[in-house]
Amino acid sequence: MANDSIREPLIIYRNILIPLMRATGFELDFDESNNTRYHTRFIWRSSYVETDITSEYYGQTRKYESKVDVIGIPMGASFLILHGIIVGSLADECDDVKLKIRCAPRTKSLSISSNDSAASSSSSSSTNQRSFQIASNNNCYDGNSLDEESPDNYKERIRLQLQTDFVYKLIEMFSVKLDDLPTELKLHIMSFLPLKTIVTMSRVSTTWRELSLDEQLWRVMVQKFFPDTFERREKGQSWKALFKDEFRRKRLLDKRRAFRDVRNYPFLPALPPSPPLLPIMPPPYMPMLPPPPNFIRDLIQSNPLRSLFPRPPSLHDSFWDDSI
Amino acid sequence: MPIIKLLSSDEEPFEVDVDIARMSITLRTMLDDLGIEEDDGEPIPVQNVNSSILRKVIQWCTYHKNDPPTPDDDEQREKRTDDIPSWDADFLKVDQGTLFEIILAANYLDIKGLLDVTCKTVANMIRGKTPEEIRKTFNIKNDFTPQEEEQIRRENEWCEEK
Repeated sequence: MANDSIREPLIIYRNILIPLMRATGFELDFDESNNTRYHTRFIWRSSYVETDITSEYYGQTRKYESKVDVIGIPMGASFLILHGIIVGSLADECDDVKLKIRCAPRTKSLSISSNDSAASSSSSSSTNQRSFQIASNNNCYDGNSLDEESPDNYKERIRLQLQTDFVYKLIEMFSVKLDDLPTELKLHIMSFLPLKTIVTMSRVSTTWRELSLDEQLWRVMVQKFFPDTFERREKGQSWKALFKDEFRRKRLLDKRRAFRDVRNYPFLPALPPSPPLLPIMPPPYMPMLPPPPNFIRDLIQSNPLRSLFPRPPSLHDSFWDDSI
Repeated sequence: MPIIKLLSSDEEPFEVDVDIARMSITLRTMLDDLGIEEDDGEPIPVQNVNSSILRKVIQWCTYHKNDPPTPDDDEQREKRTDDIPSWDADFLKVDQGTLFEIILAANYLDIKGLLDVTCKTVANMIRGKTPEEIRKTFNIKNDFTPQEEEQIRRENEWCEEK
């Protein structure tokens, strides 16, 4: 191919990345290059970028590997995304593209394979490692197929697709995620959640399960919903156990209260009707009983039986509310 | 109004009112310790916060400079999530990555009001979702075995409505 040399990764590398590094004040510290390998190290104050890219032919297939080390530079992410674009642009030229990135304290690796038939985008995450695999959605172009697209169009489309996926994945890898927040901030977020959602969060992943068992969180929960108990807590008692006990007790009280309300209900039908109001009610309301006059309502309010059994304070309204 | 200079982690200088900078407990302590009243030529480095995030933080502080101070004590603060002012809600209509970076910056700079409003925004994003929807929204991997899932379901029975 005539434009082969222009697409050559090492040349793109030399023409785009190196001037960028120089323009941002980095100095070339180490340079070892030949036709298949390009190894450089740039230094700026205590920061450095070290890259090592190789491209090799194994018979018919071509492999391309790149290792990048980025230590302490603020534009590290943009550098890596640019690097990703360059590597991504090679996707149709190579059968295998591997990119290994070390950007302290996390190590990430990303690989592109244009021949892979599996449309997999798997991510495995251990403590500090993430890896992604991007594969084109289709098998290699089959020359005998009656597809409307010409082979060139097809290749170009796949290349663009891979490149876009690649850049998206890179941006995704380097943006801060919910799980990247330190524990105390995750707990702070949890402390704004209603009980129901905290329980839901414990089913999301092991990290969130551990957080949902945190004593500090339940301390806040007890304080939020059972402030009286919060003051009376015995030393050494678990906050979660305390919350559970209080929650069960409160639920029982609520049930009893509901029962008592039903028991009080028979008082109402015994109230005298108020005939003078009936004729002036508009037709749709005619069949309904008019509201009792105010003095009767006052009478119910001051029901002496009620004062014997004061209504228990109801649970915080936002307790179960999950609508907002 | 006295002005001081801040320097973001990618070395972009910002000029802010001292009163606005003092909304950050971290910066307030630094200014008090160093006895800085106004710009003396040396910019104050704000490590850990890049220019795009620092710009957002300063924007928020400028809008909220006349707010009554948030109680220092964690316990005294209301744990409601439906009281986000509409200006803040619009201000926080950003992608997840940016939102989490603002949370980290607010935590580092110790700006309680901003930290609370951003955490409430995340809490509202979590509310009312199923575990699977939460995983999808925040790109979290389900690392439970089926046995563990069953065990957690049983552990959580105490608060199921009966």
